[in-house]
Amino acid sequence: MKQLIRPILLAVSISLLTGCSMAQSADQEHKKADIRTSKSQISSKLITNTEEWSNIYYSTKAKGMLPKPELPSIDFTQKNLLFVTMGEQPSTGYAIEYKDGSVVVEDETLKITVDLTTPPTGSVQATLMTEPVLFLEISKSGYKHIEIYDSDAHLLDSIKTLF
Amino acid sequence: MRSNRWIAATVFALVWFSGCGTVEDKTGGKVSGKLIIDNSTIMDSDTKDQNSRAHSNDVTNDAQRISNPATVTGFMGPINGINDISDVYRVTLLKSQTISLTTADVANDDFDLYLYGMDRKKVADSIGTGRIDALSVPADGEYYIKVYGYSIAKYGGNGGLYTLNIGTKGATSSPADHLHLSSFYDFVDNDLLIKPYKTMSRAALASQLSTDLNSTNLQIESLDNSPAVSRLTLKPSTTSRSSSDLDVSIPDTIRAIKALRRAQSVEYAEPNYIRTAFKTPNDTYYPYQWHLPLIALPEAWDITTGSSSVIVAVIDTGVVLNHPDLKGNLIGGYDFISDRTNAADGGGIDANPNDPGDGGGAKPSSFHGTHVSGTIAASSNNSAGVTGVSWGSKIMPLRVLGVRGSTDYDLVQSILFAAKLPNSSNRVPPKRADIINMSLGGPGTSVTIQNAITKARAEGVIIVVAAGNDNKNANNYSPAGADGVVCVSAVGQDALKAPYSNYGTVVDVAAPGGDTSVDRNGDGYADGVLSTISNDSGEMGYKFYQGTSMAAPHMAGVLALMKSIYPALSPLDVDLILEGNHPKTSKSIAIDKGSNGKDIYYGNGLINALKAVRVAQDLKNSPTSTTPKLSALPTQITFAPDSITQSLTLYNSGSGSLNIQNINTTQSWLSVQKDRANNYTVTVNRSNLSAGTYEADIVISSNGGTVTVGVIMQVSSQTTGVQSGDSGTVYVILLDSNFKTITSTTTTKQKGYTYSLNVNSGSYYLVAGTDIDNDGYISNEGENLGGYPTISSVSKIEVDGSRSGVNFRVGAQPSLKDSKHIQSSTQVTFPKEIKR
Repeated sequence: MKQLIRPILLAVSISLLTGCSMAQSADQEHKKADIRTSKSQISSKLITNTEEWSNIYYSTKAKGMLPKPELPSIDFTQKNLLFVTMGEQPSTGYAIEYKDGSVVVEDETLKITVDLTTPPTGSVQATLMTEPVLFLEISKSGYKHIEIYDSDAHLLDSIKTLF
Repeated sequence: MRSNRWIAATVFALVWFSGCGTVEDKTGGKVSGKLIIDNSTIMDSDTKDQNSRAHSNDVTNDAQRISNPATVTGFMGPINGINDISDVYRVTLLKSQTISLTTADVANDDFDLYLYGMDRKKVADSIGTGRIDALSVPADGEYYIKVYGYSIAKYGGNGGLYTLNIGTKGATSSPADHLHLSSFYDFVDNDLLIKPYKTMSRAALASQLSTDLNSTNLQIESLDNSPAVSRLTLKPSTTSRSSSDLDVSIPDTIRAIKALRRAQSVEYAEPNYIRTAFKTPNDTYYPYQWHLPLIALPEAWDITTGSSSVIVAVIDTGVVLNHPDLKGNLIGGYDFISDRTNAADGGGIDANPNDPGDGGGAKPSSFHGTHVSGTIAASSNNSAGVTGVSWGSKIMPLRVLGVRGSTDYDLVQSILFAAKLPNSSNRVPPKRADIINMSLGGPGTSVTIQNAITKARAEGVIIVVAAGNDNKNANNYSPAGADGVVCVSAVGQDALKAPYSNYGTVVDVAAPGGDTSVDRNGDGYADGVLSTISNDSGEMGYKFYQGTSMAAPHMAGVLALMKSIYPALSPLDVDLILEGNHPKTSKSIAIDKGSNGKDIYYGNGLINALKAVRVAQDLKNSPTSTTPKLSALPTQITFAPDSITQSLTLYNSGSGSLNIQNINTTQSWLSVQKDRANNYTVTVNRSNLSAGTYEADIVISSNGGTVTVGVIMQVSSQTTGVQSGDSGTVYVILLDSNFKTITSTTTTKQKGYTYSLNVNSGSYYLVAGTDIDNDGYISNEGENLGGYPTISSVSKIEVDGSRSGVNFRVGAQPSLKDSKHIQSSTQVTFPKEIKR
């Protein structure tokens, strides 16, 4: 089986993905959805060009770093990047990892499995807002859909490609 | 000669009077009583009221001696054809007392306030053009206060009224900032910043300004007429020292500003003030640290940047010990992660608190402890990196958070170590930490952690914790919900609650935690908290993080600044200060946010470093002994010729319990009796004493030391005696149900402010007031007023025969209004007649 996927930059980005809600006046609305990890908070995106890669890289893994690091080079003529995020979490102790060897292609669908880690029950964690993310290099062809599963085979997210 | 005098009253309640006074004669005839004049009520000794004896107080030799506190009502203007432009008072003042001058008719009058030492040198002035002038007394001592009628001297006019408050609340003690002027401020000589009402050519503006400045004999050197603000430069003139015995000369700049404001030809005119920058660190990334100015740190750094003797223990992931922006500020430390896998550094607990990273290979390491430590005490002003809150202080890194976080057991051991208490390492630091920062936690409560916190607190350690990031009630989190900690919630760059921040009744204070979903300050970076960091490749750098983890170290750093000034600052001190219950200060160290007072989102408010270090200074300058200390207020008592009693307060300015053991007087004409609690009445008996000035001491002994209060008493009608409780001539007026004057009389201090009015049986209103501008009206702004039973609720009295003992208070009006007469929704106007 040709190599369809290569995990790169397995990363939990300690920063916030853009698109989260604006800060609200404390005197107004304080009801916000529980941001504890839930399967429904997993979201993903297929990155196909350098511009998209730069936007996501500097808004997640490299967000807020000084001095600003250089953008790692990706040859998008040969590969795409699959970006998966757990969303904003209230502390350290969260992680998303690619499960080695879990990638398969079935019915033109690229299926991968990720392991989600949450803080051990009763543990003490740093009260730091985090956003676990995962970047995977994947081949540019051979599939028309992408599905992401957890280790219990629950579908977390899916992407319909333009290929 | 009869003259009509009109009064206006505030609110009249139609409540039937009952039960007061004594009915003596049922066949009718008289209402009598006494006006109650506070000892602090004083009248200018030279007013326009022809029924009040006038004694000049224009110069220091005739200075009117007054009590402290005092509310003086005065008049400036023509009296019998001669302009009274100066009223001089002599008084003993205390350091930091506020003296305020309220000008009644600010539209027409400009009165200025000056303060001089006994050497007649000016020590302060407030010479603005607003309603209120105010200044602060620089030191304990005796002073001359001069009220100067600037507008009367310059432009003449009919004169006007003023109220001078010393140690008493005036209408307001805050002058309108934009109208406030003082010759003691730094500004560019002969430079004015002005804004015309409308756009006009430079030539037209110059012409107008020249006309407006005509009365000052000042000329324009140059005029820079830009759209936003125009800059007027005056030609230097020879400013002659005023010939008055108390110098009232003012800089040409201020003379010009007064003239332009009076002419109302410009929207504003103000000095070109010279501003000095607060201490601004030269660290490379300081401009991105919005969170430091948000809590007034530059201003605080002018006072202190932290002491190296103050230690903050950071209980966290450890610290990257060789980070260039931290390594100079680290001391000792320990690694308390007992599980080898969790520790990920090859061992269990050990003496190496270096942070190897908490990623465990599954995720990038956070280097959270390095970030938190940098916020507290990054090496600063070193032309590199970032700035820390208390950059002179030291960090004790204690590692408890590993790959999987921490356990309660490991956390407890680190707390005990920081407090120099026995712990699992069998070691203690050479010096315990002053402050512990714990930017960590989790749901649920822990008795084990609470016990450790309680023990550490008992050792004097101040413990700061993060509230948590679930936007939930922090009461159910540990250690956020523990007793004895300072729990910190987070705000963003807009100083509003961060969306993730926990809240609850356990939140004590708020601090910047950041919000990286926005870039409100437009600096190109999300609004996180910028601090020191590393990465799994060993590269050192800086990063914006958000969370209550970032908020707590701001508070810990501010406490380190406070400790640097006042090393004795205890956990209890911090609690009491935050609650506003500290015995030595009522000042807050936070800015109230959200609902008034403490609330669940901000606690007692957003921490403010400047307020905090000032409170620390206050505590440092307060008596620090644990023993009581006897103090007296006032420290000297003066009895004017007609004054018989004065109040004396004895209090404990130290701590502990004060017991008064003995009070003796050195002269038989002087006696002291206790009223209640700390208050005493001092009485003089002038019987058989010939005219003259007498001195004696009151000697008070206690377990808090001995204090002597000097007493000066005058037996005569000398006008140079200290005046108190003197409202001049007061007009007492009886009105029928239709508010028509039935009868009136006058009374003075010499009469003991007693009055008696002959009247038939019936229902009446009874009012009284002064008329120091002699305009035929009592109760103008700046004049004293009273009504029975109180001026705020004047009620009818039933006279069936005679009534005596009808006493009521007369004093300065509770507030000054804009109109010449007191206006209210129930205003009524009363005619009144005075018989001579």
